[in-house]
Amino acid sequence: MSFLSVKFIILIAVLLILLHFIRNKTAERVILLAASYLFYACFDLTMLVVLICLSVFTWICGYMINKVQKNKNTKTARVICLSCIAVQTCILMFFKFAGLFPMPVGLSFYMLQAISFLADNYRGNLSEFPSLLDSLVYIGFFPQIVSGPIVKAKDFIPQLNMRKKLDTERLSYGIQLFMLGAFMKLVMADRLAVSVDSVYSAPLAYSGLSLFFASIGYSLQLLFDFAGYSNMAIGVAWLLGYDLGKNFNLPYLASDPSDFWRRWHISLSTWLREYVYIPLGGSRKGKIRTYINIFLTMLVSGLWHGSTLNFLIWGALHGLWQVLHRALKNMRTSSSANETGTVRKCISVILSFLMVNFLWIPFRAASLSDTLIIISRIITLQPGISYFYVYTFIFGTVLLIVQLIAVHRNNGNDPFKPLPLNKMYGKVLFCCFLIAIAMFAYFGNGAFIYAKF
Amino acid sequence: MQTFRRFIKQIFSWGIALAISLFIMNLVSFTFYDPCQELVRQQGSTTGFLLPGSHGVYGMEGYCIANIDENGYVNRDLPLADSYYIVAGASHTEGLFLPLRLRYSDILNSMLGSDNELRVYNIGRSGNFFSIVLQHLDGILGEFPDADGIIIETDTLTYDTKALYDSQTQTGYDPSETASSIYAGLTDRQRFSMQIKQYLPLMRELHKQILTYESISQEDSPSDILDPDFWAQEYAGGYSDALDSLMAFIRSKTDKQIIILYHPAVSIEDDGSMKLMSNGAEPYYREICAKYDIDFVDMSKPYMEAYRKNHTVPYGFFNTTMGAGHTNRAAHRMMAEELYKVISVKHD
Repeated sequence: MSFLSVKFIILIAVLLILLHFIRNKTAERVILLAASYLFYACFDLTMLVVLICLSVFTWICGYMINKVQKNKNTKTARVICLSCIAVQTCILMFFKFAGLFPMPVGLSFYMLQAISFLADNYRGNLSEFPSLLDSLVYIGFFPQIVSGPIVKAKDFIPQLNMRKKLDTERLSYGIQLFMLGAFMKLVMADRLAVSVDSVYSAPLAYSGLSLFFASIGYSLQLLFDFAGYSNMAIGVAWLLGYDLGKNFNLPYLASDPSDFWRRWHISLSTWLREYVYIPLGGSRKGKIRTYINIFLTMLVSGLWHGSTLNFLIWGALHGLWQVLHRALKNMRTSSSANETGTVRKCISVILSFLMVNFLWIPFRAASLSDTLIIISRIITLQPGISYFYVYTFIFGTVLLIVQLIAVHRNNGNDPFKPLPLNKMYGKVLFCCFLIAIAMFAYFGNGAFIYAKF
Repeated sequence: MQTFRRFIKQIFSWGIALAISLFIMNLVSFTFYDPCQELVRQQGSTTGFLLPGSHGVYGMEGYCIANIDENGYVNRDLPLADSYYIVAGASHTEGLFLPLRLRYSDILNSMLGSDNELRVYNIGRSGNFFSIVLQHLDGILGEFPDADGIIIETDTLTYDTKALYDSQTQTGYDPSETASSIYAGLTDRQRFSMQIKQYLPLMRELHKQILTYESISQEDSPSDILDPDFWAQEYAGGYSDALDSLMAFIRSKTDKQIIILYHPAVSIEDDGSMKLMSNGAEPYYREICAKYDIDFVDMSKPYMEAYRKNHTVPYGFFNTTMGAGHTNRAAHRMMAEELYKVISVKHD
């Protein structure tokens, strides 16, 4: 069941009506869980078993940790926690790398939530140990199960007890966020995919300049696809009364690698920081160790994204870039004062974008040899088919305008504000936006890129 | 009562907002997708006309503003020359993706030294594929008796033995069935419907989107029209006789110059080469066309040569993908050049 299907709209409508009339908290959770499993079963009924087993296993592990901790046996709790996380990681690795079974939909995402459940429980970040029902709802919550955002247990589970009721304001915000996501996915990302897919499928045929242009097209496609999905997921969760946080904040406005990861896939970045980087020692154990930790964290990120060498290289290069940037920054701050003029900032943003864009090439290319072909053809400006997709220009310009507005009005942060639907112009713009989605949607490319990770 | 009043007020204001936004987006549609109205006919040189004197905007693939002449075909508003060629074919010939003057028929017109009159008259109509054009041969000859020659465009030769025989069945010609007479014969309801469509391109755009959405939901079984086994069987059977019969039939209809313009589809391969999508029927056409003094213009070689030299791809636009879809301006230029060679040889 796709977010962009009539079935899904019906599911949400029925769910909202049921939740509106139900006052009992347990009944609310049962309905949410039933809806989540129904949603998941539409993808793959057999893999629902994996989801349920893993959720129950996680809860049992958490229960054991909690029990041991109550007896003040911290060491044993730590061993149990680490063992359980190791088992979860092995399950993820098994599906990801062994290739014996098809990867269950969203496993990479809900596994991280399961790990978060154990870690937060072990660290005492949860005020009380959640019930089995709560943990099942948390791990299987349908708006974000396929492609995130990855919500930490300490951020989500407390919300189950204080679900916000649906009012006009919440309805308006949720629907508009969902529509924005649908626009980004159907109109922008899927249209860009047409060009990107054709160029990346035969890189030897295209000129170096066309390949570079296609790489920009992919940078935009990936952003609109994933941020579009995230907006839809956050919008649906918002309608249901939950806050999943923000997952994107104009990432191509980043001025350095750290800034980029604060803006791109925020939920994964914060997850990695909290459950990988900090446990490794973070920046508390000296410069060299900090660099190693940064590099290892990015390597984990690469591995999480995929099992091919390309993803590992992508993660490693991101790690290297971060380390180099951190080292240069350390040198600069110790030698001279940091100048941050507008021109300098602009140059940093452009260079960062070019670097991110360059690093998306191994992320998208079918193989390592394709990656090398594309990069070498771009660098040597090889002749070939000249192809400059019009929609890359159009959507790139749209993004640029949004970014300029963000810089001008919102300190470089996402300037999205819901339309005032109590005013006539708000209603007109809302309807125009809805019609524009129907008019310009590109059909034929339904899958979300991040769903395959 | 208060709540009910508020509810009615909300419904009313949303209704107004929807009406305003439909109006705005309809205006947007005029610049993006505003296709011409079609008038269907039973007999004649094509399956239908476009509304004479109208314009259409096509921005889905390439971009063009089409001009419909007084006869219901896509042409510039210029008088027909005393000596002229007819160009028939499907969407590639109609050229609703390129501005007028960039289509092969218009370029050929200029090459033949005429800019103030039409020495090449385009009657291309979307969906009028090779076999359909042949079924309208009597119609073309009846509607344009003074033409010096006929150019029939096709992007495929995948017509099997049965299709080759079926192409000889003529739809006939009725001189009274003109674009203006069909329009005059429409009922008030039909005219009203046309007016609505003309002023509400948004509705047509949305309808097209719904059809696209429905078509992707249905899983079609893939059919390989280039299946080598199928064509090997065809060629081993009565294919040559059927093609011979068809060409003899065409030649029997007229002694004018007849040109079959064949431009195969292509695909861009993983290794960076361009491949022609052919079922291998070219040699049969070449041989049998020559037998009946029919010119067979095969674009295979020029296409491959252009790709080898300049990486020029004959299909696709910057708002679609390269190597797929309709012929672009480079292909139209090449086709015009090849046609010019054949026509000038005949005239010399």
